Amino acid sequence: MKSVFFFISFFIINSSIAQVSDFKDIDFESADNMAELYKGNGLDNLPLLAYNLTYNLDTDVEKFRAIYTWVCNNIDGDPKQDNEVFEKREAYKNDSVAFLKWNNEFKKIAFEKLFKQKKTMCTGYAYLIKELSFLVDIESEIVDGYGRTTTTNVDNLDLTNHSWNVVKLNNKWYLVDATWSSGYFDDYNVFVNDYNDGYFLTDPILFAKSHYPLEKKWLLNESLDNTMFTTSPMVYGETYKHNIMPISPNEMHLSSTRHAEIEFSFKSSQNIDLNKVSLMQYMGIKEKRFKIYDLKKEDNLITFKYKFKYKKDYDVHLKIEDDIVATYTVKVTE
Amino acid sequence: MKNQRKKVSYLAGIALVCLTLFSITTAQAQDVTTDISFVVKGNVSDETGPLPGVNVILQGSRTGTATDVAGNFEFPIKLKKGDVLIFSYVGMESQKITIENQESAANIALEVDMNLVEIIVTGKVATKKVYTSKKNKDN
Repeated sequence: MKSVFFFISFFIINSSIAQVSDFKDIDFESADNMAELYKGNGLDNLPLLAYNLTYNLDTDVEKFRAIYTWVCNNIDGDPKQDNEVFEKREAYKNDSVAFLKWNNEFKKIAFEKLFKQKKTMCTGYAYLIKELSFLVDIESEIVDGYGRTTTTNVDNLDLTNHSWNVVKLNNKWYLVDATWSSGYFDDYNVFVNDYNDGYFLTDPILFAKSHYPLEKKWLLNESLDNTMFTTSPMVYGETYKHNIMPISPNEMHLSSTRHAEIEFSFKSSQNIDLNKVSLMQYMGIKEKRFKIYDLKKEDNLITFKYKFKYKKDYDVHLKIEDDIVATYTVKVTE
Repeated sequence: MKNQRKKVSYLAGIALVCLTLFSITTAQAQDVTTDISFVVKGNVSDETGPLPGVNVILQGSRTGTATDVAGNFEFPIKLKKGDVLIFSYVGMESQKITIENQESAANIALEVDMNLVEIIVTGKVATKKVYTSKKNKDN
């Protein structure tokens, strides 16, 4: 009985954060196995691929899951295309006609590369998700917008640089980002396939911490606006992986005075070990941990406090295990 | 008297079974007669002309073919009303075409126009870099 209660409360907590919990009764193992079974399959026959991935799955969410994991684990990010698009977008920032002309030429090259080498950038991922879904009668759209990373769209909506998808399952729209789920570029700009489940059917509020669409309706939450996007703490792929929702401070750039107490808090549906929570800064390449206090956990909310001692500009990072999940800047004055 | 009544109901039972059986078979027969199947042929093109290599697949199956150099195809099996053909080519908008019932026609000729996908390219793949403010970068 106790364990039943535990499970029920676990799901209630879960549902408050992750949208994927709308499908908590569904085990994605068979869907993921289908994706694994067709690993290495080419893109020369999309209808056949879509059929193979989904024919023995019963529900739309499982079918979509098989398509999603297949795309994430079989398509590689292409740093060359990524850079080229990025440069052209910057160059033609104020000349949309020239950009569109370039876009239409580049599109052909990009599709050829996707088709033959299975390499692409966000648009290609989003296109495949939409297309494969369409082929099995699941409604999906490509959403263009601003992706917030450590180097772009940090404090302003500077550059439309990213595409992701919305998908309609059981008459409700959900958010997914196959590009950022698929992996990352390492220090040598080489693509590393490292599936991150945190961008699959993500809670709109968490999703909006790093994704702002050109069409506001695709935020899927009316209360969100772009100031929240650019002022929120910096989040990372690991934030999504651990399903961390930073609560306070709710802004990235903070100012404080010496020995003033700052309370930090965040929510997670996952079972976070308090011993693995830390606040740190880099001194060169060395990590220095701050001596945080009053660290506690109530339901799924984790809080702690810290007083900065010196007059200084700090870059502080919230860390869970070995992963940085949020960054703040703190300007400490006398 | 009692026996006779039993006999009657027994016969009635048999009659009922026969009746049901016949009505089922006639219902089936009717289905068959409306299930006319067609040979489906066609040509697929885009704004520049015939499009070779377009996949043509019956939805919900592995059955299909691809267009030849002149953009022509003949579907390998006969199709019936309500079947959905998918036309797909990477970079083009996929199309689904439902086979309509065409009285007396044994052939269906499809003219399919494919259009380039309308997208704007973007590119931002995730990195593992940690944010550093400008002030701290200079230090």
